[in-house]
Amino acid sequence: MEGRRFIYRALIACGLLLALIGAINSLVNPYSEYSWQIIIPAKVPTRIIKKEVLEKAEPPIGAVIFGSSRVAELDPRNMIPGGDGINLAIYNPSMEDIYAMWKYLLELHPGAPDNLILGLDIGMFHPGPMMEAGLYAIPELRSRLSWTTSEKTRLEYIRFRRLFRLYALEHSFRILKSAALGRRSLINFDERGIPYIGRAPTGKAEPGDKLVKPPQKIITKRFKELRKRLVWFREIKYRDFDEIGTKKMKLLDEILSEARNKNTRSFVFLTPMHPEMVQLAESMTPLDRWRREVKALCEKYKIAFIDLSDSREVPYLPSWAFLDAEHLSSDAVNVLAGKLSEFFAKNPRHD
Amino acid sequence: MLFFGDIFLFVFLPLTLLAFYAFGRRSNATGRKFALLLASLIFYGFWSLRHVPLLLGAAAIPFIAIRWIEHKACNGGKPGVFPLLLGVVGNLGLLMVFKYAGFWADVFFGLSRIRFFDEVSPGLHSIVLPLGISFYMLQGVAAVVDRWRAARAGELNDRTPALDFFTFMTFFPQLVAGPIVRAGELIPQLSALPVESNSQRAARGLTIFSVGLAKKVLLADYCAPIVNALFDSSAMPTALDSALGTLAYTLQIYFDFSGYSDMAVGLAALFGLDIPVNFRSPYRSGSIREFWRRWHVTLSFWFRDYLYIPLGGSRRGILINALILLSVTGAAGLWHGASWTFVFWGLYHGLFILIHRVWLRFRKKFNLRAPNVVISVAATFIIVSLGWIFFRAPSFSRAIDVFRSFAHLDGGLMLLAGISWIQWCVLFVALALALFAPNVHDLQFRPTPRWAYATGLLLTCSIAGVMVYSPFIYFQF
Repeated sequence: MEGRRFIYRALIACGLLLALIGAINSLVNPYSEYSWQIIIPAKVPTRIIKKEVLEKAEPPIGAVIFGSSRVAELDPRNMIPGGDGINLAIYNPSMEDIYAMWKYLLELHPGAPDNLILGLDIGMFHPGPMMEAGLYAIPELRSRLSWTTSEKTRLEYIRFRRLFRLYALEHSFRILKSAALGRRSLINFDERGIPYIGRAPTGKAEPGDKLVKPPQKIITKRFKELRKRLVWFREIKYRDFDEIGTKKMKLLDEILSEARNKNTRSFVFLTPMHPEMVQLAESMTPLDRWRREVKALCEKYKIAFIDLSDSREVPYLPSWAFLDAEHLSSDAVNVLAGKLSEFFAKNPRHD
Repeated sequence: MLFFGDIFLFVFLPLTLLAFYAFGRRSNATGRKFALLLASLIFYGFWSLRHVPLLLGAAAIPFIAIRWIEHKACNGGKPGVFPLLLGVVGNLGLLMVFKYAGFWADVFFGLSRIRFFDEVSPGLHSIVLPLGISFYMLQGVAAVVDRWRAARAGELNDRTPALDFFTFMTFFPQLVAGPIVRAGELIPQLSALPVESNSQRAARGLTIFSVGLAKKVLLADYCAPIVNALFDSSAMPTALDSALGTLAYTLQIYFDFSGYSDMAVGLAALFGLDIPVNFRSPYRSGSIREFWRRWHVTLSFWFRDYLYIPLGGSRRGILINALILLSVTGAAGLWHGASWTFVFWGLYHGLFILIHRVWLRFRKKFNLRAPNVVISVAATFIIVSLGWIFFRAPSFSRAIDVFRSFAHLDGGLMLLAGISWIQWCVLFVALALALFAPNVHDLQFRPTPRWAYATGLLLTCSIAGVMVYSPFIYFQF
């Protein structure tokens, strides 16, 4: 009899606790924006994932997207009609990362892709060392940068990275707190290993799609949670950013020049930024000068260029279209993909 | 269907228990066995319906062989070698086809350069490995050999009921990843299946199941991303990456597999049955020999009883004995997977068992004292952990990369730079539990309210903590 009572007690306790977690979860996570994970998994460096995506890609490659996590949800296959494509966007990239990947791409696929899509953001042009050490861990990519790196740069860079440990620690506390409240990890990976934040990306380009504004309560809640963390992260990232890195501009110049020589149709767009982030960048970085310089470079090579970096001037991407003050929500990504595909269709091959 | 999946926990298990105990009310032991058999086939069919006939066929081969043996024995004769060959070769033949055909084709091509082997290799490699085949084939072989030995010794005077045998062979808690149960352990329990439920045993089973689930979901699965980041990458790791990734895998494989085994023991207890314990705190072993008495105990004993001893065991000379030992450990490695890395892993363990034997002789000869227990446990732990590198690495070259990285002590974490502080905590807790916590099977179970609530809490944390679809590591073998 004791055994039977034991089983009833254990199962009732389990059932009640699960019901409690479910109830809390339905209150704090009504739209299931966070997946059901307690602890954030170790992040496999996105550079490694994307290097493998690149190695597995079969020619001919229709389109390649380079950029940061802000464009990681764009699916080139949906944006360029009739073509296959891969997204090589990575977390926290510098122009060195993009350059190394581009060179590696050309070595693996000397025919070059038909279309090159560059989603640039100001952070990639910091004059200092790169933010992420991941590139150095990958011999195939590191060797493409032998002329830009040195042991000194590497050491500086590792010191710099320590600052980010604080960020990671703070982030982990936040995850624990979220877990205690029934919410789960903020970062997930899709079936191709591409990281995303919030819901799974679709990257569907559907021209003419409009965003539906969610209830104000949801937007406020989301921002309270994430804004502070991202602003703090950006403040670190923009430190000592008083001029555009000349080496970074040179790398961009070289990529565009090489793409032209290979007869690859190139598109450059400046990625959308949340109004608060625009203000922060304006106060800490030469944002306007950067926009002008990139535009001038694109004009030099007669490359299609579109500036989406100030969301105040892009009516279809209002502040509430951002999931976390940095990244667009999945619906907004689809709208952006639709707009970009329209833009690509309007800009024929530069030759 | 995984033990921690929603369908298993909330649909399959409750319905199976309901059906099983509903027959009890009508005092119908046959009904209970039939319910178990049906549930096991449904469980297996969830993975692959087309492999259910294979499972039944794999159970039928030893059953026919056993019936042949029993027929001879009950008629006063002694069985010849043919029924034994039917059971052993029939079972191992199926294993060879489904698991090793591609591997052997590659080996033969490498040795002979005959194009035929190269041509058939891709087709053979594409054969889908049926889930749990390595486990139920070994059970079938053991069942036939045990009956044959009993008949030869004149100790066989009963027949194995068909329903009992098929229920034993397909028993779902241990079907896909062990423990490897002997027919003599489970069939007598099935034959004498209690009509009345034993709630005390079921309560203990629920507790053991919860502990196993927590081991898998809260410890092993949180080590997995660290392990994958090291071994699934092609980038050169730093020494710290390799050390941490190897430690993480050492803990992951233990908590994953022992968690599964605990769940199997717990589930069997829910049905009033006892199956053997598979893990006895192996990382507390003071030698490799002791490690194999604590790690995957049922597999070690299978290889001891059905391969090592029949080959001559330790009765032969030193050199022959060493060769037998290395053959058995190499075969045990190959049993885990059709790859040279597994064979190497088996030989690696065999070599250290030999070294340990030499050391014991040396100690005896020179009358030396045994080393401090902390030193011997630490040394064994390190040897075992390094061995896991070959076990986990997808190729020899990756394993060598990991070993080479140990030579370069500079540099911090590179591949594992993204590890969160919670994962550090999980690693430390897992290590402490593996080394110092008592084994759940040795605990004195008390059906008190406190234990009940603790079990409920553990079950809740485990169910809520399920990360993603993450099958047990040993399912692949």
